[in-house]
Amino acid sequence: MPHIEELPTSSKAAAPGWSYVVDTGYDPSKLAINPSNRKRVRIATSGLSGTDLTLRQQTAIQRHLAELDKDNHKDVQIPVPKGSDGGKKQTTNVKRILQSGKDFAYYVEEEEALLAQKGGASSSAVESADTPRAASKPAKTQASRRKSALANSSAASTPAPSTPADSTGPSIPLPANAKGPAGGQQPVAIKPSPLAPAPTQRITEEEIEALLSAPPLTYNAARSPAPPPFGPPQRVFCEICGYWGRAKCMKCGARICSVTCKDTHEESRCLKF
Amino acid sequence: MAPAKSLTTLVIDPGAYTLKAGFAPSDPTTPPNPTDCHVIPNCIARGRDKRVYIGSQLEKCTDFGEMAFRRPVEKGYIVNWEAERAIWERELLGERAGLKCDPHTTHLILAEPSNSPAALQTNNDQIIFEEFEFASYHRALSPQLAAWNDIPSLFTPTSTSTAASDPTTTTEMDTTPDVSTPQPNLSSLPAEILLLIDTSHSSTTITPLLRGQPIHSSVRRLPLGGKHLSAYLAELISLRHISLIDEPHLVSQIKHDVSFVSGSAAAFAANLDASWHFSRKTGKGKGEGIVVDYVLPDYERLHRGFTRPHDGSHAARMAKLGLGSGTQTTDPSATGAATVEKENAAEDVITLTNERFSPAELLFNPPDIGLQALGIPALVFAVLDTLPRSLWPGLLANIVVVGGNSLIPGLVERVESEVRMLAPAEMAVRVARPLRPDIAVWEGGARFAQAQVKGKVGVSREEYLEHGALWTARRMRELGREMGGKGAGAE
Repeated sequence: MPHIEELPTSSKAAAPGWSYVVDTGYDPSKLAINPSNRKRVRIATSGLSGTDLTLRQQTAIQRHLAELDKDNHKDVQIPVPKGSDGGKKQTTNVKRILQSGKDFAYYVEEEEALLAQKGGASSSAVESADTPRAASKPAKTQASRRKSALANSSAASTPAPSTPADSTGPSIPLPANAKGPAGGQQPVAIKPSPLAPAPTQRITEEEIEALLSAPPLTYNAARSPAPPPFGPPQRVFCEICGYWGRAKCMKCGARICSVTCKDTHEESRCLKF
Repeated sequence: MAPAKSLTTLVIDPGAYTLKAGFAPSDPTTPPNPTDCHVIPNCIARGRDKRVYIGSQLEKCTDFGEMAFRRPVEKGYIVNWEAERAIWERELLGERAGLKCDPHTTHLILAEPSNSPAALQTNNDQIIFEEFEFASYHRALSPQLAAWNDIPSLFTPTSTSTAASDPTTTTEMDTTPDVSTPQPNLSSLPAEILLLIDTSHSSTTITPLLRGQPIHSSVRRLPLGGKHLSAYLAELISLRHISLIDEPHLVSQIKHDVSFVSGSAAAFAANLDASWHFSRKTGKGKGEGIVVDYVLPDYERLHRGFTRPHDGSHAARMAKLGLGSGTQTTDPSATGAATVEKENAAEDVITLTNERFSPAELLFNPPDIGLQALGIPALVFAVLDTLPRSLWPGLLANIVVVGGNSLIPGLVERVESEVRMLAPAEMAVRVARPLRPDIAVWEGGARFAQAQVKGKVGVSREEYLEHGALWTARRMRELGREMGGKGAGAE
């Protein structure tokens, strides 16, 4: 894709909301969003293989998942009842926290942005789960966090006391770092046990220490990974009754199981949304 | 450094659905009593009459019709302190509260889930110290607290009949790494090695723990929980029977009453076959044991729905009486001069078939609703894949399921059989569930509090005021490391 950069010139009209778009020609996904002929929606997207989802289907799934995640179906505002405050004086922090109407997504994004600013630690958090190699990166962020903590608290009236556990904190992942693959083989060489199969080999104290001192992942990095592409095919269910979706609606491609359900589907749901 | 010993210890596990709070026993030898734990709905609710209920006020409510809920805990994390403070003040603190807790003489152990954004942790610290003014406070990870339960007794065969709190049933674990030092009483220590599956209201988290400490880099979370199962059930019922989309309370009651987990993927297919309307009509499958009728409450005469065996002729009788099944009882003739039979028949009955087992199936097959994520058994192995193979036998033999969803019948058995299928043949697989999986974190926290013989572990209010929020956050992380098997209260 050609790289297009906008040079800051005064003659350009700075209209809000415009952007350069690479014209790739015919795009079937666009057709799925805005079909010209409603009866031909399914035929237009038939070039996709069975497992591929159209953009339209993906948006529908995302919307569905967001619906399931809600506490109430409708958006409701329930104010907190007044009273029992006692006229206690609140500190600035408390006022700020109580009055911030921010939701969880905001805090997650803020955390990600903060870590990205500190050197892409959020993306490496996933890798560090798999390889001990990346252990040095979180250690760096820990150190930088500590630095900022020190800087902040020294701005306050009293210097922060240094705790012994913290000074050893960043250096703990290093043994695992230095050992690498050779470290894993070492205990086997020392204790050759003919009876014990490979899985029961002893774990060394350093390895345990490295595992336990690894920093936590970010919220998004800890999410369950997607199933492998070679796994069992996705199960499909009848849209109406929940039995296996053995047939597809000719018009919209929705899954149905029987003629009864097909009639219900055509009455109430087919091409209605 | 350590706060005074005279403080009472309050343990709070703020769940998204219910808040679990209670004082830890002051006597270190008696195990925590489940009746000490107050399970309080962690929400502010508003009914259709615009009346607002906070926390346990809901228990006195009789009309849950169109009730809307505001839950200050999002995804397991306390996000909205404005609403959460109202609940705490009503339920825990002050003179009129149910718990009558005085923060100034109380040490607080607050459970929090893993992978919390740091800003939210700081918010917690600031509110606890600056608004509530607790004398001392420890923010601990909930899997870490749950590990303080008497885990080995869960796996002994007698533990199912006797109470899990019997300390004499403690047995040595076999497959743990060779790190144990002789201890007089094992139940005063966290579990050596444990794979904790916490399936709660908003998500399902799998945490491997070693010596009572979580392996942070291996924690994985499936973004499906009881909330999603209820919402999915509401959708299915609304599509097929009556719209219950605005009745979240009723739907979660239905879920509690009827749902179950199929024994395996094959059993799921068999259940689906047996309960299919076509096979029931043609007599190939009767759906016996699966198909039930659920009588919906009208909140006038009937305040709680209930199940009864499926009655195939019910719909026909209703039609004969001129009452279409599935219509609301707004027909004036039904409330007016109606016959007794009509009066009795004017109840809303829905027939539940695959709605009983399809929602819970999502925890095992998230792609069924298009969510590209691994189900619980596969996620167990995604977690294990990040760990050295030498830890596998110990973790697989010590899987414990906690959280409200584990009360769904068949869930623990399904986890065990599917993990068994995926596990290497030479490794033992044991899956257990505490007697009260919903308050397991609270119980563990209470046991942890009891084990602190050398003084309370935590940050005192003076320390917080002296060193500030950032220092406190760092200290809490260190406390997490110190909470391990090296002995509690080692300061």
